[in-house]
Amino acid sequence: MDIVGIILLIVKISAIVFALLHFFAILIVLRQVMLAINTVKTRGSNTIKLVLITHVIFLLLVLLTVIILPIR
Amino acid sequence: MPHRKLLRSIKQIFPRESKSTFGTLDIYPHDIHFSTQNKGEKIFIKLRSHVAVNLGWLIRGAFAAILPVLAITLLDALELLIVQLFNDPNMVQAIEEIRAIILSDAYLVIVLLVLYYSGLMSYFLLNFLNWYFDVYLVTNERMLHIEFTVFRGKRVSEAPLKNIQDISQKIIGFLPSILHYGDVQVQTAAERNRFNFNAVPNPTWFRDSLADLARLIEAEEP
Repeated sequence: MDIVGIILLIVKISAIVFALLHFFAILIVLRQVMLAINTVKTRGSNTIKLVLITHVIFLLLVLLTVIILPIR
Repeated sequence: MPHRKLLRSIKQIFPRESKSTFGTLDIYPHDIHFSTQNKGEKIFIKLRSHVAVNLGWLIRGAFAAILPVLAITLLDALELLIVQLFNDPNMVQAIEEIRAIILSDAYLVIVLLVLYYSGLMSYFLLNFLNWYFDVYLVTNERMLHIEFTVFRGKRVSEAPLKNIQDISQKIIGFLPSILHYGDVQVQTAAERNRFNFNAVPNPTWFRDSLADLARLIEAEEP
């Protein structure tokens, strides 16, 4: 593997680590938002829950894309 | 009946329902409940910080959104500058090689951009949540501050209306003066004797209404 290949491998590993951390961080936020909604329920609570769940699904797709990312 | 008299007096302080566009100042809000709400406890005012407090992270986020485009433009300009200034064939070749590596793996570039923009999306979302779940409530018994900070959890503070001793307001700064929002500080007869309403809209009206309400509740106390 040449130097470019090694750099690309490092980039890919970093991307996977970032995507994983990001995904789990948003899962924690989702849990916290559920707790916040239990404390105070407002007009937009359900919309916020929906937006966050959509974001979590999007991040899961990003994580999968990064994992199957081909390198030269 | 004293209760009916109290309600009539409260009607004079808050004559009718009102809703603001972003839910920053709602009077008699119907669509909000909190977990420790007592039976018969009625919410008179729901407050959030003024929308303008979000300008900082909105501008930072907007700048971050155009940053990749800006970086590419700047790198192109830098490359042109290096070529013109040094005119060194080795340097020009090195720049060309770097460009070729980046362009050869377009898939990687797209994935990195998706990662970057998903991070940016989270940044917007988390800042919005911090603002949205930072709610002040004034009920017929107490005032509450429900504060939610992402990754740091939530904090709920409350003080009974009858404990209110002194209320002050301050509107400091360019934006608060223009958009008319500011801080209202309530001094209470409790161990934690300061209750702050930060960057609330229409602080003059709020201070006056809270003082009237506190006087009314105090007068009703046996």
